[in-house]
Amino acid sequence: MTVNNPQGIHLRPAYLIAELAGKYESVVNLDKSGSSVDGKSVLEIIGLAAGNGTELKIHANGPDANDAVEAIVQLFEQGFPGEEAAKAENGRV
Amino acid sequence: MKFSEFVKPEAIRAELTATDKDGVIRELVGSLVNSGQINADQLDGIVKAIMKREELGSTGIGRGIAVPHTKHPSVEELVGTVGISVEGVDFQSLDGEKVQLFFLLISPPDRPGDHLRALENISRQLRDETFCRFLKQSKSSADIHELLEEADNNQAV
Repeated sequence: MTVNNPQGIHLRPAYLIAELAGKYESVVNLDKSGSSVDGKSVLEIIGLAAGNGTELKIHANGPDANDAVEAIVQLFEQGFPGEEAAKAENGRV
Repeated sequence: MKFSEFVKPEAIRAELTATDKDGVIRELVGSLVNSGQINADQLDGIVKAIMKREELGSTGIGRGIAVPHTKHPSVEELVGTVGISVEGVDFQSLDGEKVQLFFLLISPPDRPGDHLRALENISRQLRDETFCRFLKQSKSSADIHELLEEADNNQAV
């Protein structure tokens, strides 16, 4: 999947990903060109420094792996809901 | 982006005295005023902007770490500071734990890349549990500065 957000995966999208991934029992990993991080850790996700247009892969392993992948892919496809509202509100997202 | 590129030693605060979220952010921005990186007349506006960002979701990212931040037109380059709270401050973190390590960032409105690179560095260094533990145990800003320098020197180029 592709990062679809002009600001890249900064703290707020990372938080949304980790929060969503945390709802699933499965282990969730995000990969960027070979390096893999824990999809439930904000700290690890921001370590990817994934700018707009970056290609990421998602892997999940566990009883609800399919649901977890589907939900997170959807979050990416939606471009992280609330980003525009947050920007308009604050000038910083 | 190395710590030395956005954290001036004079702005580092060991043993923060504030006990709540608003107070700790004010204390950290105040340290940037004292170090000459922020004009005193911008302090209130910046604190308000950071608190507004917190309302969108806490920047407390777990493991006792928070990265409060904002964009602000009064800065021409990314400025940041590091503060340690011995007791920890309730920051509504993802994992519910109190925050002891603060990395506060203020960036110019049109430089999202720099902000991401600073976050990347903070993340990479803080994943080292020993580094985190030493930071939390630091008793002076000189100690913290030394740890940041060591981290900068150890990172692969």
